[in-house]
Amino acid sequence: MSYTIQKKIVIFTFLLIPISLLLLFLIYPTIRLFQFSLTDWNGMSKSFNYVGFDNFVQAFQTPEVWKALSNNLLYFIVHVIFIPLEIMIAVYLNQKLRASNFFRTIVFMPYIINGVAVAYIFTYLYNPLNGPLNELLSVVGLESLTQKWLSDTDVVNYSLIAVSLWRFSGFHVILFLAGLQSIPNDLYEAATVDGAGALHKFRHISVPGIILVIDLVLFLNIRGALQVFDIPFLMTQGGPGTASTTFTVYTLETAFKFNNYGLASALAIILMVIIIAMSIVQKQLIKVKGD
Amino acid sequence: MTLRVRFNFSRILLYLLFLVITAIVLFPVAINVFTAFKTPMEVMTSSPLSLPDEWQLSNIVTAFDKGNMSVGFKNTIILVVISVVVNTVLGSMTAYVLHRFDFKLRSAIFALFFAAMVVPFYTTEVSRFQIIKSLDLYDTLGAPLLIYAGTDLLQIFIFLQFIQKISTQLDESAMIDGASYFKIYFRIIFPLLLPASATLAIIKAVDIMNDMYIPYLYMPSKDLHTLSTALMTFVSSRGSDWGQLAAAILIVMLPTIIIYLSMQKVIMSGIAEGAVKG
Amino acid sequence: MSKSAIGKGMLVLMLLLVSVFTAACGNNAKNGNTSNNNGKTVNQQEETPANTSKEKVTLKMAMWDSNNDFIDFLTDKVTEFNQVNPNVTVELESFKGDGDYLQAMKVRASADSLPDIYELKPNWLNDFKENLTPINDLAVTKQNQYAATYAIDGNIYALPSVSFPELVYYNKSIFEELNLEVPTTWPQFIEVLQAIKANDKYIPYAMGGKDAWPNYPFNEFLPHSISGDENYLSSTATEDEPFGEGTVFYQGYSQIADLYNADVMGPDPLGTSWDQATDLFVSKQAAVIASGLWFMPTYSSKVGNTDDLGAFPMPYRMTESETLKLMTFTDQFYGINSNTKHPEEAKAFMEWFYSPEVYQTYIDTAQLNSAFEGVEANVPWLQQFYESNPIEPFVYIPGDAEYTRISNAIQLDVKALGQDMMAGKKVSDIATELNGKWKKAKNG
Repeated sequence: MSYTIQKKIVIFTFLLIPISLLLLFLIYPTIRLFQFSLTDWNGMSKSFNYVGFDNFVQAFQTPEVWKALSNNLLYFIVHVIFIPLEIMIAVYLNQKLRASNFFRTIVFMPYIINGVAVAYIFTYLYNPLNGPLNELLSVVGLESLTQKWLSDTDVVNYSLIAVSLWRFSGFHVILFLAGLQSIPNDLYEAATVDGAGALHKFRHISVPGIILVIDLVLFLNIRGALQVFDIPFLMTQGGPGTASTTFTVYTLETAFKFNNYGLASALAIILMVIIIAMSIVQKQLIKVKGD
Repeated sequence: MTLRVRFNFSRILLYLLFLVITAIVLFPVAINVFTAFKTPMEVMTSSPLSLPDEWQLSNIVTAFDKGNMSVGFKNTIILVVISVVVNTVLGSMTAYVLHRFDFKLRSAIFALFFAAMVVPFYTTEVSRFQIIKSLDLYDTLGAPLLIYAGTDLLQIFIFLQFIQKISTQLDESAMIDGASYFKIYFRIIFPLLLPASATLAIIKAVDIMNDMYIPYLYMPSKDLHTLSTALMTFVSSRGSDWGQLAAAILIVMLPTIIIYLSMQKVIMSGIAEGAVKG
Repeated sequence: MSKSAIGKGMLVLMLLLVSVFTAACGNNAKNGNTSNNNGKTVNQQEETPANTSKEKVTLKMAMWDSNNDFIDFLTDKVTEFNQVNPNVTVELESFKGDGDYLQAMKVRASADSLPDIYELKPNWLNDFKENLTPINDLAVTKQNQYAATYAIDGNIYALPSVSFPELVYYNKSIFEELNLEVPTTWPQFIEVLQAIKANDKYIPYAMGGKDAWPNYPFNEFLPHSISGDENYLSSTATEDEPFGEGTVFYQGYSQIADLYNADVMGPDPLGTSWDQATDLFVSKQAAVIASGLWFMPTYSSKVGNTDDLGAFPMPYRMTESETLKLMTFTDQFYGINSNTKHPEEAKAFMEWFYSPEVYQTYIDTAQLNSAFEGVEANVPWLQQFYESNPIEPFVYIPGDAEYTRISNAIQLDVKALGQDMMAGKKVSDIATELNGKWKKAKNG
């Protein structure tokens, strides 16, 4: 068999299943999402009407949508602020440190724990009646720091973000660590010979060496922060009131609690557009920095 | 061997930092372990930071029975093993084709994968549900298996990084020997991609084990519960028991932690190998 | 050349795939029809004759309940139908909460995958009516005391299994210790709670505010009750601004604000979950808690008896000159899926399920009031309550289709409003916001 024909066959057979799955479970539902976003479908009924862009207009005019989005933004910002810290920890873990293997294991551990379990563990930690966190604070003499972790509307989002950080920071650290380990040692040695300080080496060798990982973590962060759902859903159901409602929680409530599947589809599309836009902006920023 | 006795202040600070991190990671887990062995009375009255008076197993036993945990384990293992294997094969095949061949729809396929990555998945559930239903997979293990098996952009990128490093000369010399593209993939490319697969397999396995939404929606039957959905049955809106919940969490958490600790070396080196090497 | 050939090949492949899956998953993409309903009905007619023969049939049934013992009871009970009708096996699927349950059922409704028989709350009937078979002609329907009240356009879609009063529970020993009288008006209610607070030994009211729904005796029921109109919700749908100053809603929410602002619900009512609140009450750290009669079995299973458990109707009224009403809720409706493949078997099951012998065991295990004539629940504690509290029942009737439409459009969630109020939001602000949205949704 000639390689030209073979090539066609390979491309066809190797891509058949992955592409079918992709089309079936992701692309087709997305196309339907676009269709539904132009209708007043309630999600259950046999029929619906096309209403043009009414749902999009309504989405932009609803203050709760923006409130929910600002909560997502908070997740994003806090996680971005933590990136330098995560890099720092990775740098330290990369040094020859006794027990560094042990610390690596510990740092990565939260990521492998079941997410539902994590949400419930923290719900218990934060609870106000004989709650472990407040108890710990009073035992170590920091009684003034005790909070109504999940019921104070000014605090609740930070409490939830802390859970997200606990779960994912370690994963990021290990990714950064992997990036750092891929940098050849002789680069550092050459710099040492040239008399470069630690900070200089970090700035000019480490950071460029892991720029791809930073790019990846930032993308995961944009996607994760904008789609965050399980932590608020399992821990506060978006409450008190709507204080910790995120965009996805709001979208799901619109679809399934308030029977407005059309509006929910429009919201989902808006979210997609935001994620794509932010990813493009990020790519540009990394490019500029990377040069 | 010389023993360094020199007092190194920054070293000590560093160890202190890592001890604090260790405490932050372990504190929630430890509290959960304590709670799992306490009686309901103890949970309410004793300090939550204290060890249980008596390490009693009744919560664990009830949680295991009530949560149908053995079923949960079985289903979770089936889902993880099959999806991870299928997923790895599909992902590497896709990456192989996308890297080694140039064809018209190549960039279109990349665009499709990117689009799939930014779809807020919870909201496409109604359409997806209709597909599962029409394939007659509703309330079977087939539904999540099919959904998990699909590969994604992140995977493809990581595989691409690795394929890049596999010299095309290998392919070419095999072709001189008359090997088919299939043979090249299965004999040369796939074995060399295995280190990358290890990392991806871990990430995928963790994702699947932690997923609650898909099994919850597509497999409501009791004998199809996974560990995540079994855990969810312990929390109802009208009454739950911290001790039993903590025990259920422990049951769900322990096997993954044991596997993780025992395979920790492989996993760490896998990640170091696999994760985005520039 | 070869490249473009492959490109064409891929294009054909894609088209092929697209056509395969569109064929597989529905003619539904066309003409805005979200379920291949037409195809279904045809199939059904073809299948029906086959089903009436001695073929084995499995009926799926879905319910939610918080009480594990009750779920176990019902799981076993429905299998007994197999003894009556050996060809039919009934499988029960249970959920732990009505919120999860509702979402799962809505997704399934969109793909015609609802169970053959499923449980409903009265305020869901409107949403699900397209997915329910009218059951006016069942023999047991005529025995049901409330079914007709919840008919939609003359059709009865589901039968309520229970009816029960909404109560305020209190620990008798605490009331005796502090020398307190059972309150019969709203101001007295707040006074009693303040007296308990002043004593500083007990939490006056155990509020599980974290879960939102436990504030329903206030934020959902209070305006409804003081309106004096069982159809209050539907009547608001005819008004442009039913929330502003001078309305029943405003008056009711001001009453609620008086209660929340009295700070009688412990240190952190919004952070406390329902199960923690009930623990506080059961362990006598808290004096008072309000909920439906369904809480009584939980209490007695935790404490072992009901000797110290007192109850009184929630005194929504402001003065003793108004009549004291007892909010009564009808719940656990069961209906038959309109797309079921086994309508005859499902109907036979309903007749069996609500036959006096079977239903008696249901109501005795649920420990709630019977919804059927000729069957009396065996709940001595409740009979005692009714003897000592001769009060007029006030039946909760959900809003009509128009009310449902408007409140969905503005995403009205009164329990979330309750959380907002506990967090300090003012009634006047809530009323202004709601009026604005309501008016727009009603007329737009």
